[in-house]
Amino acid sequence: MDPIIPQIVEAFQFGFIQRAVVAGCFIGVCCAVLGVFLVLRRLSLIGEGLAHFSLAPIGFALMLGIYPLYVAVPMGILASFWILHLANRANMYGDAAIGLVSAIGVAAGVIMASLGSGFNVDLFGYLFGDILAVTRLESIMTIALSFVVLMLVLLNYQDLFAIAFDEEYARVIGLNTVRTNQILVILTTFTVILGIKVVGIMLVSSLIIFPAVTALQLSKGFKTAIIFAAIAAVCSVVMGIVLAFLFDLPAGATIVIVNFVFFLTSYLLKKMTKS
Amino acid sequence: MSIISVQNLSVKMHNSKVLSDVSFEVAPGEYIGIVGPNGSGKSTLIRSLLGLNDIESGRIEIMGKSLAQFSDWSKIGYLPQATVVANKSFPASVGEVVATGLLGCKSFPRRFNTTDRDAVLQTLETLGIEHLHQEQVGKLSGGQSQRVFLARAMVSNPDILILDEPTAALDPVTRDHFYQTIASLNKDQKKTILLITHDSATIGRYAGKLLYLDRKVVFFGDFKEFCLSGDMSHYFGDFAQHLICHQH
Repeated sequence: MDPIIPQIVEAFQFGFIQRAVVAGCFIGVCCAVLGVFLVLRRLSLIGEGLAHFSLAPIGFALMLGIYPLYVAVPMGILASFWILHLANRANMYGDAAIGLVSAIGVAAGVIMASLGSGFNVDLFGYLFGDILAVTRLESIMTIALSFVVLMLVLLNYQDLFAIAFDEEYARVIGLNTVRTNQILVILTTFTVILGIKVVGIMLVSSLIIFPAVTALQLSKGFKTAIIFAAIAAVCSVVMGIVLAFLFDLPAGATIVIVNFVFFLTSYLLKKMTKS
Repeated sequence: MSIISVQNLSVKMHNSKVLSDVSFEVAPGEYIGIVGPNGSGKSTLIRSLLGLNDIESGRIEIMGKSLAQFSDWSKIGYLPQATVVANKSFPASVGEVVATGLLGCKSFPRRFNTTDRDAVLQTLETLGIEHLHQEQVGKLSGGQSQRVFLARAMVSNPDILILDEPTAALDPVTRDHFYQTIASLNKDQKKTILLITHDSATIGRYAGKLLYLDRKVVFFGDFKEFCLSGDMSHYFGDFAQHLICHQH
């Protein structure tokens, strides 16, 4: 077997690996940062729900020959507002609202896949992700949108923190919790839909959940948790892509498994520190 | 002029009337103990004052402004009923949590400066918990947690403190200490206090006035008046005078 280091160096010579690493890291950081807020608010499954829902608009766009993200982003935002509305105004539990919206999306997506012909291969790519096929345009779009997401999180950081800790108190002190919640779900929608390209519809919520829960094992402060989550996300994306290249594995799934190993390590570290 | 004015307030929740025609006024610097049986609408009244409940009818004024017009929420410190952190592993330090009490007086994008950090430390010192500043909030005991949330309510130097059953989860020693802290805030710093409690036996020692609620105002006035009231035994039982007013 060839030595591993030269193989890794060789891997990074390829344009598609460079694009995959850059796009994956930016998406990973966005997912991780938003993930800390979502996990602590027990809303982490909103990522899963929005990803599953996006099967419908992606299927619809592929059927019509439109670039899928152009349809998936606005439809995803509408779906996220629908989830918020069901959870806040229709006296429905948040997880039930997510399940309902997600099921509708999957059902509609499956119907469109059965009606359409010739685009099922593309749809398969969206289901399981294809980070190594990220184009230059998609890379640039990902970087630009990631800057927007991170900037908005930074500007709204104190509001997001206060609401994550105690939403009712945040309302009492006059914070606009409705607006902040809307910002959070819009940013999550953008990030999830971009993340679909990295690990696919089936696994994108893991990019939100794993780095956050890994960081939460080890952090005492909120800012530290966000920084740890972002580091875990970047490391898992880079290691996942390298391992996938070296051992000819599916990149998205490998990133998720690396994330799981990080979580397991942090969990065991915490247990050992306690004992 | 009253600092809080409630006129003919009625609140319905899930199609049932929780508060009916409630009226009372609070003058600046008063200490009001709000008592009443379970389900009497005490927390609903507080939540209505804070704008957390929709009201059916009536009028609430805070510092001379109607609730809809009132925006200076940093003038009100609120200690909610449940101060035990539900998620024990929530990664927030005491300093971070207490600082959220200052967000009401910040404009977007909200950022903390040195003065804010000093205010947090000063408040923690006032309550004798400055050593907890860097501690993770979910790891604190009930009494420590209570003080941290009181610090959050006080950090913006509010004129009014609204406390919803603050002593429910405290042992007797910590509870007495807590009451003394609140009493000194009222006496020394002239804070207006509204405190909900089931602890009728203790509140009389500290509150100047008592608001007895049972979906409507049963009694509102000086504590001494309450002790002399003929209706007291009717609401509190035959041992009321002994238990609440400490009279034999």
